[in-house]
Amino acid sequence: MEVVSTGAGDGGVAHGEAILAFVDAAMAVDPSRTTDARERLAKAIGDSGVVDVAAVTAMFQLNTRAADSAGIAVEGPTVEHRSNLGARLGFAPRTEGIAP
Amino acid sequence: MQIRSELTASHDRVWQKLAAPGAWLTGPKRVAVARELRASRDCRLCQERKAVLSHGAIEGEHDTVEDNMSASRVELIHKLVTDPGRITRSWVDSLLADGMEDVQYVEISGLVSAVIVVDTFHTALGLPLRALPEAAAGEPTRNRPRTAVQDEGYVPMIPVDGLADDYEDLFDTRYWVPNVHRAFSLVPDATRTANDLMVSHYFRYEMVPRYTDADHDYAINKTQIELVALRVSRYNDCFY
Repeated sequence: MEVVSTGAGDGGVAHGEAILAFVDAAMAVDPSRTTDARERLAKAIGDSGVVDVAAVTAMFQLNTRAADSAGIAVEGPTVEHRSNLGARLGFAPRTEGIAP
Repeated sequence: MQIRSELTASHDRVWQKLAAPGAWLTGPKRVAVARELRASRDCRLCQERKAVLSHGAIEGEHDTVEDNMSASRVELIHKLVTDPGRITRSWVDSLLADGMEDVQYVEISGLVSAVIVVDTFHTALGLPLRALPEAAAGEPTRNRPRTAVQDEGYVPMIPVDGLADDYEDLFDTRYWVPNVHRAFSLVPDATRTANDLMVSHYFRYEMVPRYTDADHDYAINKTQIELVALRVSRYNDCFY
């Protein structure tokens, strides 16, 4: 749970810390921080991996806004998906399935 | 750095649609939304509001680059960019009460969200932002899906069993359709754009609950992918 909320540690995910440092830098739109984080991530997972992380980061900028702007309901399969994800990342699933 | 061609191609398509007349906005109006989107990142009012618990307590005017844009449209764009996690029903209703149509709200929300995908990708990789396109002439289509209904959300959406007319293929109903896929469906083309981006950046919506690492050639695995998704969602305070 801490890894998603604070970016601390890696949540048991391979290269998780480097991934999160890059995502955080990209979201903060901090060019120098992003450059450093990107170089570190590239050393860990290669350029293709960096592109893939950038792509997912970008995509969820849309998905979060789609959900929030439309006020959609959280449905059962989403709760289940989040719970499974929580178990995989090592944090207790919440009954509402809402990500930490 | 080599960028997968499908990513660039999907960004090209977003830019083509950005310039073209949409469902309710003309090409020039759509490009103006994109200009204002980029300007909102430096808005002092947005920065002040982001820093406090009760953003409604901070009054003022947004720093804007579009002199002819309505205040409610500016408010929508800025909020979507800088503080989407605090969008509420009452806030949406206030925009609609101010004269914004629900279809305009959805078209602008979809457009802002799509442009942000392209911009975020570029800034994450240290690439310059794409120059905004020249707007194309032409009139909006003004097609409102006749089967869209107001249910639990803030705006009407097409139900999964409501596919018809020129949007009959909008969802893949062979599988479970997540609500996030329906979010922009009051403007079907916005939904198509979102799904197009999903295919190249992640997975199409109906695949999300069931994909495995055998279903992709990405250089990162499913756990890493979902870590990124969760982190961005947390950053944007997204409840979903």
